[in-house]
Amino acid sequence: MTSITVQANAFSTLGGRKAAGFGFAVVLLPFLLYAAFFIAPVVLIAVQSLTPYVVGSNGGLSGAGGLTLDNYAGVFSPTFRSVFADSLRNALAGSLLCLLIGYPVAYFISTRCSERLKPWFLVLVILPFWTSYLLRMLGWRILLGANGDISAVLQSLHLLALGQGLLFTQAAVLLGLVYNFLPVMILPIYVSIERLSRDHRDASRDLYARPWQTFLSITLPLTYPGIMAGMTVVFIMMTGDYVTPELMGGAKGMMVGTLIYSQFLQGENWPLASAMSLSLVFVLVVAVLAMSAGGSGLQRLPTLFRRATR
Amino acid sequence: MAMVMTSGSKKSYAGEQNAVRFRGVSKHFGEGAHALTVIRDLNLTIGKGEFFSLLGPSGCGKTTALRMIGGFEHPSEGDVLLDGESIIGVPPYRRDVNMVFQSYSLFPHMDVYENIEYGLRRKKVPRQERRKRIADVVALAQLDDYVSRHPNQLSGGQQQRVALARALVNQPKVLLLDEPLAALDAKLRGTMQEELRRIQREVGITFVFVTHDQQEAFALSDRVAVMRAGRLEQAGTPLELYNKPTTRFVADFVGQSNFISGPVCTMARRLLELGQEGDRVFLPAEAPGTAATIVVRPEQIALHADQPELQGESRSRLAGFVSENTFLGSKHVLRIKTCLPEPILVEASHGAVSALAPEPGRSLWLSWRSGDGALLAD
Repeated sequence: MTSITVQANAFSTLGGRKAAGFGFAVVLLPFLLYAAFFIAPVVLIAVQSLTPYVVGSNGGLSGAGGLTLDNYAGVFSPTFRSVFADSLRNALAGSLLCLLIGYPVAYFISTRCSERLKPWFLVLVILPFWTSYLLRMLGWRILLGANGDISAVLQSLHLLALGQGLLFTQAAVLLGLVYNFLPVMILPIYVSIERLSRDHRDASRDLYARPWQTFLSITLPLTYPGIMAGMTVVFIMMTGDYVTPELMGGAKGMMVGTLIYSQFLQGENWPLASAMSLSLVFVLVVAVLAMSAGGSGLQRLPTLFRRATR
Repeated sequence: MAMVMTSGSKKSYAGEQNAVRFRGVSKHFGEGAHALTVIRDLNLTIGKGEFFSLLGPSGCGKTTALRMIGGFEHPSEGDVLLDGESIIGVPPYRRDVNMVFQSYSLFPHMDVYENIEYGLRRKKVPRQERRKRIADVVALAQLDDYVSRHPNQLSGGQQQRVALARALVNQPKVLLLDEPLAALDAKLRGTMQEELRRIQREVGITFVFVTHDQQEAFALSDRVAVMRAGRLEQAGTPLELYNKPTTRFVADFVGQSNFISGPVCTMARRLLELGQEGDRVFLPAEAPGTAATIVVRPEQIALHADQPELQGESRSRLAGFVSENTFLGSKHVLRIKTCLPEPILVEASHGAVSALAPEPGRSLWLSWRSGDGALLAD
């Protein structure tokens, strides 16, 4: 990750000093792609979401003029609201679990491994991505199914009734989400711990802080940017993921993504689906803002405490 | 200020207990064929209240030795004692020593006040005392205007003073400084050297200072230990190291030197046999072996137009001719070719030189007090 930053820096100096025109061209291409394949579709979706719904024609698009907010009223139906809440709850629980599992892993790789071993551990972290997503998920389905090895062990420990599997439960959904997005959490946290100099931890130890005190008052606050980056990305990706919940949770895995997908491709109600999509984006933006506000609030607490007890 | 009160009287090292003692300390990194020895059988004592420097080129083991006192490295063999007690196995957070890191490593998410306060809070010092001690140390380090700034809003010199204050406020038995001035520009380094010396005198705490800069070590320290490739070469006051170096490395590392070697005369054990008529080089003491090397500093040598009197064994003399004369404003540096393989460097004042008119090729005599020469052990 560090080398990427260095390259990026080298690039910006190049553009700034010698070839401003070249730098502009380099930025222009991605910008055009972004405009054509992101901004334009979003505008299209926004327009669709305000179009009146006509049964059975061309995805429910009337083609006639006139704008309406009816589709947004549909978004707030009880079904959609509960699915929406489920999605957010799953994503929040999943990203918190990722944090709890990923932080120690990143910390271990960064601080306890020799420089020689670090790259190998990082490869291990992303190794699962080298096999197909579907194969990995189908593998989990076999392990978690009623006749699967994991279920068999749990059954023999009487934690599960005979003939019962873990598959198609909320636990399985969470497991699948965490399993899939863990590396996305580990990598930014790893980078933030790497950037923290060893001297900071040594200085804290030198100033009479026990290991846990050093962790809480130095390491954790200074790796906060990495935590927030990981949390935000993982949370957004989990909210939008509907394949994993469906594969692992079946009927119980109904997520907002599934709903939107079915409205687009099965319900043939594009205006409603568009309204749902935009609502999802809006709710995500609000949720991420709330998360980062909450995070920086938490981060400021120790400072406020120190100031108050000076 | 509690820590200042102990320092009023003159410091004396004799008879006092040592602040730090290394006893037969070795340190190896790695194992087997790849093992790297960074410290070999180090024996060293640092007196209470001393400003002590560990001096040597990079990789000589000085920083590792310092980090052993701090508890960040552990000896493979031997013992490290603090105030007479072994500190092997004692973690850094239970040691009554504090360190100023080369990178300062101030905590970027805390302001200057909170940085200084950090150690006191961990030690559960009561609020009132905390405030008082911080006020004292802030005044001592002249940080009054900066207490509510964050480290990234401070210059290098200011960060340096915060790092010093953050360590000193805990009133440690020993303060460790790992090349703290290396990152500063030359002018600021000079100012900070004076600051360090003043602060050390005021608080009277033992300072152990690591540097590769000989002038810095000499300017600051009561005593200096010169290290090389993991070994202690020599420890002593700056004057002792300069005037009486015991090894060629120390002589070379601390200033300009002339090395004069030769077989010891079998009849007179203090005379070197150099084999040229009239030359007489006496050793400051009887040499143990059959050959000996002495060091004579360039400014200890006098120039004569004619052969000088010897006055027994108290003066030594060599004949030679000028091969180079460099005028440096306040002084001349001359290279004199003698019977020795290497030319002899002589520093002389303008007045002493102008009387001799030493153009290249002119023959003349060198002499010095035999006692000024230092006999080398190797």
